[in-house]
Amino acid sequence: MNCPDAVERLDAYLARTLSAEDSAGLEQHLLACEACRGEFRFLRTLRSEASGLPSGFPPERDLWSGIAARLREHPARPAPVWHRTWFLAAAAVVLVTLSSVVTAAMLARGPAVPAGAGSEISLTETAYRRAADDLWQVVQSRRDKLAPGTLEVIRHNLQIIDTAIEETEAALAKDPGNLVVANLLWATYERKLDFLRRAADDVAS
Amino acid sequence: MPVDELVHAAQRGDETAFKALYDAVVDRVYALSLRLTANRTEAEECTQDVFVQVWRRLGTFRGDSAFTTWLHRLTVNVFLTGRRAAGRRQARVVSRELNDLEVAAVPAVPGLRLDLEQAIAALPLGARTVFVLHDVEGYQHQEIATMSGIAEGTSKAQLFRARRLLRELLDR
Repeated sequence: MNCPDAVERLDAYLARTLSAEDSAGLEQHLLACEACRGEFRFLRTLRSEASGLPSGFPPERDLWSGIAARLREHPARPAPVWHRTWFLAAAAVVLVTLSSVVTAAMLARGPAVPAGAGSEISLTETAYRRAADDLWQVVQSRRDKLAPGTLEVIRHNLQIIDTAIEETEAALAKDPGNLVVANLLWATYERKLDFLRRAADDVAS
Repeated sequence: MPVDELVHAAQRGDETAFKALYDAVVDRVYALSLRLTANRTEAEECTQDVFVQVWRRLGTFRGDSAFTTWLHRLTVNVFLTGRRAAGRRQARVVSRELNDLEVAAVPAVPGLRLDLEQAIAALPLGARTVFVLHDVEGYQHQEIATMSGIAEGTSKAQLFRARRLLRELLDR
């Protein structure tokens, strides 16, 4: 057994999942190789230390107040049933209507879109929601400049996207590791932001 | 009240029980968030997002696994979703070199293994994510690959890189 093979087997050896034959080969190699013995000692210590790190420590500021405010926006309820077909249809409706709605929207000049609003979400859903709220405020603030019914059309399309988001979140809750659904969720987040961003840009221009 | 009973009460919409549940498990969520993000502000936001998601998704928790297992998985998922989004938009470049330690992210908690915590925080994002999930949280490469959307081989390579970097950092 050479050194790369030995190093590759150390994890399994420590976890006692290596076959008897491979274990014997590895032990023989470790007896003869100081470098791999050092690697083994380090890995054993590291894994022991890592698995023994504290499982928790408290946040340094109150986080509950921010959470409680958001809970009121989202009353607890049984998870909605995931209708994949319905979602795909809704998504298609959104895609089809997106450009026409924005094109028809808002001609008058208005306040500039807040710097960064919707254009740079940092890392979390919190930032996404903040950006969406900012953009919606811009659209709302210029609603008197919109053609009759346009705001309702925008609101209707946002409802479709929000429902899609809720359905996708519910699906993800049932299967948290599903990468396809996770990506779909973020794509829907981005679709909403893109829709709002374009609407806000139009009312502000 | 035991966590399981708090979960059941919160599932019925009892916000007081949910607050008690938060108090019981927030330390775990925050610690995991902080280790994954290596950034206090992002860890706080991640923690808040997790509990909002818990509130909204609690109805789907049927007790097939322990609540804390479900909670950890949800925390990882919230972090990974945010990470993918950040990477997709290239909102910022997360790339730390070995000499660019962000030690301030890790709180000075008595008894904490500060050297290792700080070294983990200094790892590049991909290596840190896999190390925390594999060596601290105990996930297997296959699970990490599924959750992260990377190949299993990439997960192994990132773990190898993380351990090599940690050895350099801890040997300093």
